[in-house]
Amino acid sequence: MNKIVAFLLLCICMALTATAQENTGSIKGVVLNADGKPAPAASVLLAAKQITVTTDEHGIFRIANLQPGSYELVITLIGHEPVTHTVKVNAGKTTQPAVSLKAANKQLTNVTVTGRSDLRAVKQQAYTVTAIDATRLHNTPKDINQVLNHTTGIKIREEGGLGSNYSFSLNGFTGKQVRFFLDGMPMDNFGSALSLNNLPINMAERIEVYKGVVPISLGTDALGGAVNVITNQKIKQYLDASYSIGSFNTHRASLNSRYTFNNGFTVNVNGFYNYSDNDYKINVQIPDAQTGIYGEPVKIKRFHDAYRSHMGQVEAGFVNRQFADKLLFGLIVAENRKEVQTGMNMDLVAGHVFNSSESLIPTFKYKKENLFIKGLTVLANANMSFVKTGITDTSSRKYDWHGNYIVKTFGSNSGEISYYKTEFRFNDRNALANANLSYEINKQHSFSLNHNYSYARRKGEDPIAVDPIPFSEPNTLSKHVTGLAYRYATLNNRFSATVFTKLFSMRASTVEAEWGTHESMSSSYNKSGYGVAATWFIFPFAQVKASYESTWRLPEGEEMFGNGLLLQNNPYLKPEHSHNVNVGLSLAKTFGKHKFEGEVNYLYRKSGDFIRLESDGQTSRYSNLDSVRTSGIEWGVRYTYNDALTLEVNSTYQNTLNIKTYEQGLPNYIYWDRLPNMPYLFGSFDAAYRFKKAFYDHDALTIGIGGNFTEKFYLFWPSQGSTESKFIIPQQFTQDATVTWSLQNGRYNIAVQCANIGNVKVYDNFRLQKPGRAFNVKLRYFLHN
Amino acid sequence: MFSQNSKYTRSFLFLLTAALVLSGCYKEKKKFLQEGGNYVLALRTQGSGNSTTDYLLTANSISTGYQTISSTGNGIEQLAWCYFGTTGNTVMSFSYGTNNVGIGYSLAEGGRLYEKGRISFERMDCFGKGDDSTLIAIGAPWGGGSYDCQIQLIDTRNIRIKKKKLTPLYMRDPSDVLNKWPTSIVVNDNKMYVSFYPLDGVSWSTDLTDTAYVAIYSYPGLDSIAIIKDTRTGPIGYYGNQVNMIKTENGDIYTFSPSSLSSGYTQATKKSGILRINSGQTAFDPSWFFDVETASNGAKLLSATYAGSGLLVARMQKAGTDTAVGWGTFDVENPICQVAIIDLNNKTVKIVTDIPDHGGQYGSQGLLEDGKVYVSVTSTIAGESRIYAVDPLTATASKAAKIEGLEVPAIYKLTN
Repeated sequence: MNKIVAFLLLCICMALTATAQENTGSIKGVVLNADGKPAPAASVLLAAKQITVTTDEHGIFRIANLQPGSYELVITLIGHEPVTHTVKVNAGKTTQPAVSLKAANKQLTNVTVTGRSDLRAVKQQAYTVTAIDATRLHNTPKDINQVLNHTTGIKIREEGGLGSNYSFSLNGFTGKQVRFFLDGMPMDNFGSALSLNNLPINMAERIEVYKGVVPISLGTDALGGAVNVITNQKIKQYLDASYSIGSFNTHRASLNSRYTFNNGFTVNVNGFYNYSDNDYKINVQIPDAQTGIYGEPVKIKRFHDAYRSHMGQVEAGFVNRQFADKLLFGLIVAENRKEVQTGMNMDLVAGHVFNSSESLIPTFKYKKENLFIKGLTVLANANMSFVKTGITDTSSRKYDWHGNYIVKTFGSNSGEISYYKTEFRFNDRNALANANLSYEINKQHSFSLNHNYSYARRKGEDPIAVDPIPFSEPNTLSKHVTGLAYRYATLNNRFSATVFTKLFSMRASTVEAEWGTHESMSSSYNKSGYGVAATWFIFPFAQVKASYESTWRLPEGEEMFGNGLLLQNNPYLKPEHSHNVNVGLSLAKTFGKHKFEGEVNYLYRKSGDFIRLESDGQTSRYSNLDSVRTSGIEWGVRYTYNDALTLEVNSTYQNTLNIKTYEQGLPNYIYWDRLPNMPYLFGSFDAAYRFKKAFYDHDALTIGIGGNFTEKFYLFWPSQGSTESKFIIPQQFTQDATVTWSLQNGRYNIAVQCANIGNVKVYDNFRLQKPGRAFNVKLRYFLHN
Repeated sequence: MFSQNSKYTRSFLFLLTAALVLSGCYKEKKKFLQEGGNYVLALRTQGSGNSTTDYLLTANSISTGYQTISSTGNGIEQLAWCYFGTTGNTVMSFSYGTNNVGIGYSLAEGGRLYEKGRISFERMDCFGKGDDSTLIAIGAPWGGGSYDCQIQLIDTRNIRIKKKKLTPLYMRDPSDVLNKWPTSIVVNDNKMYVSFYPLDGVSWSTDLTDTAYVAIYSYPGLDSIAIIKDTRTGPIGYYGNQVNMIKTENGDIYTFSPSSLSSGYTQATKKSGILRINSGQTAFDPSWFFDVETASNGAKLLSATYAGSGLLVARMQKAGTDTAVGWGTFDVENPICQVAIIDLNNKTVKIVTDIPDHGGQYGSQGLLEDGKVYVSVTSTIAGESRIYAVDPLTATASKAAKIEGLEVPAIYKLTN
């Protein structure tokens, strides 16, 4: 079924590509920098059509579907004088101009406004933001999570192989405290079929990670950060198809394509398919069924851990028309299924449990610059999502690690993992609308206003439940987040600052169906946050940033109302609050062929009323429990030589302390202790060498190695218990290597990757062993013009 | 060029230094090593986010108020929330829920605990002493479905399960849909007495509360002998491995029926009281019953430690506090408990007023030593957790060791 869908999508794209060759011509040019070398990331403006494209790593740019005639191109690049170049386009032909740039005399003045790439533009904001260039990684078989795990401040902890549960933490914030976006649309309600652990890297053009302060344009109530995955926005026509096969019967395919007609009609077709058996070997001690005594450690294959996910997206609309710069309607369909092999640790083995999720998401995007008046930009997007999430645990079998089982006669109402057998389904219906209005009075002053409305409705059903089930009556939650910001920049853009305020309001309601009683409940909150972010270029190559925010995260419906069963309600639940401070310095300097980049960032967070689960006899409830203070430092350096050698190292140290003086009405003896079960020191490195023209004129061979390091950390409070008896999550140090060979200037690519070269036992979570050494081969076809 | 560079180096270094200074505020908490000894205590620490952790530690004395029981740098960390049991010179912890591991410890020279061995188990919910080398553990039927309990005999010399028996504790008739949750185990005269209370496996509602039940098995054979019932009070014991049956010097067994809505009963139809099974008998003594609730003007008997000479040091739920169905006696922040001396011979109840009102807890096992009973008391009213030494003869108590944590679910004294 999935293969057929993928094939059909491919056919559509091919057909669209074929119809393109008509009465138009195109430009394929190269931009050379002051040294006469190809200049990547130069901006090329086609003045007549107000189209801007960016040169690729070879300094090449392409503009297609041009009516024959003369066109004026304005080429800008950081550190260079802008150049205007006229080209003639003939029908059915490609004009191939070469444009040489001259170094700018006044390097200082326009450094931040002229000719910066989007990536650099993101980095140069006053917010503390990491922008990851995903295009560099498109040939590698990595997923977005693996890429993010090489970023300062971020730690992703996975329970196992492909598709397994993971927890994302950013500067000490976890769970719902950090928000995720796909092209600015919140992913909270997309379902697990569309999440960072299955989105292929090829879908992303870049990934922006906001730490601490989150810009108002991402209208949401994050407590301390946001991740925004930006898909390919620039290229007008392309087809990017890849397939990778690897250890543990892992298959991953992805297709991303776009076709834009002359009249601005655009079609995007994207999709992916992931599958893995995840049958990697782990070390376990199997207890004797009679005596309970543990046997010697044995290596054994996981047998019920397969994962499958697929997604298809079609988007169509107009770009660069008078009524809209962008007007797109789309539909995303996604589905996944994950078998569950173990409970909270590897002692509990399951053979039939699985989780599943299906999502159907219609989307709408609109953008128009200079609407009615110059400088006024409107950006709007909206989506609905229909998500069905299920847990299926209906077997009475009790498995061991060899795959043998007995049928339980004792506690047979229990599932393999769940206390009660379940076929529980959440039916979620969500709606989201976001509008962003920005007005640039002039280069110095601009205002923006953002409003975000979201509505979520959750209903639960369980056909085999014998008693009341969670959310048998719908639970609804609506939220409004409004942001207003003013930005000031000096004329030369060396200094810029943004002040902003956000208003959060929510209303939630549910009916509690507890053992026959029906009680309707509702709750609402209004909170306001504010902040400021400023940046100053001390020198053209040195940028200082500082930002502060006071922010809130509003409780979710489930947290406030419980599920009517063992999760009790807490109508007194308050929003979580945090003060976030960031101070950072980033540097970028080129000495001939040597390019150095570096950044160091100090962070401080003081957060209270963290919403956490609290247990009470047989039941539990969400309460405002923890108060923590995080301080930390993160740094990274990157060195590039001659566009061939790249070396990158970064690390993060973050110290999260418990600042609660009283706990359960008693003096708190773990006051000022470091929060347990949270990595506090980690880092990564990457090194790559690229041989241009390795065998042919048009090929390139890249050899890369990378590594990830996490210092060991305690499972429980560090100060408690004798050192020798304490449970730890051991130190991790893994390396991977990738060889990539690109042919025909990047049209055909093949990459071979070896992950966890040392085949070391690694754990992100206590006693949940991750895969050992694994091989992957990725084939990619990339066609663009 | 160069001057710019050094400027940038300076600002970089300045920023780096500032950041390091600001980050440097963290010092590891000072750890102190507690002197080892023959007292073995289970300490449940507070955790942020209600994530308590259990530690097993030793102390050479607990009797004075100057002493502190702390797991800062001390104690053997347990992987999950634990039940504790002891027999002979072995203490066992049973990690509950996510990780079902039982670990046996004994004392080494110098009063340090060492691990003797560990076992994996399926379910163990209620514990009792079989003999000096046998601990009895019964797995209860969580979630209904089947009504069998699993009785397991643990060899505490070699730390292994030596016998398992799957059996329903009691089936009223074939239509009986209620599970039977075991609450206490006492062995006497080659017989094992198991008290239990009926409850719905899924909803935890208790629809049968007008009878006290005890199932009797041969020991160590584990063959069923009898089910005995008495309607003078409600079911014996409640959830959470409390001490709900005790044996006196002459082998008589006394049973405690709480009839408490705050202890998981969804209804209470009889008065909280004490029944007696005379030594060696397979029936309740029809001539003996103590209506504790009436004698105490409305208090409920939750659990007790036997202090000898017919005296119990009991944890009672205060009169007038049993107003809501729930798990109020498991909440340390809910000070609805008192300690009282119950005289079984004279049928009297005396409140120990030296001990502040406090919250109930899981498995409150006290220690009897030199005529005094040591109990763990966590009181938000007093603003502390502490062990109290209770003198049952005078119904007075003195402050013993302070607890740096939430509670002490078990206090034992071992010899090595």
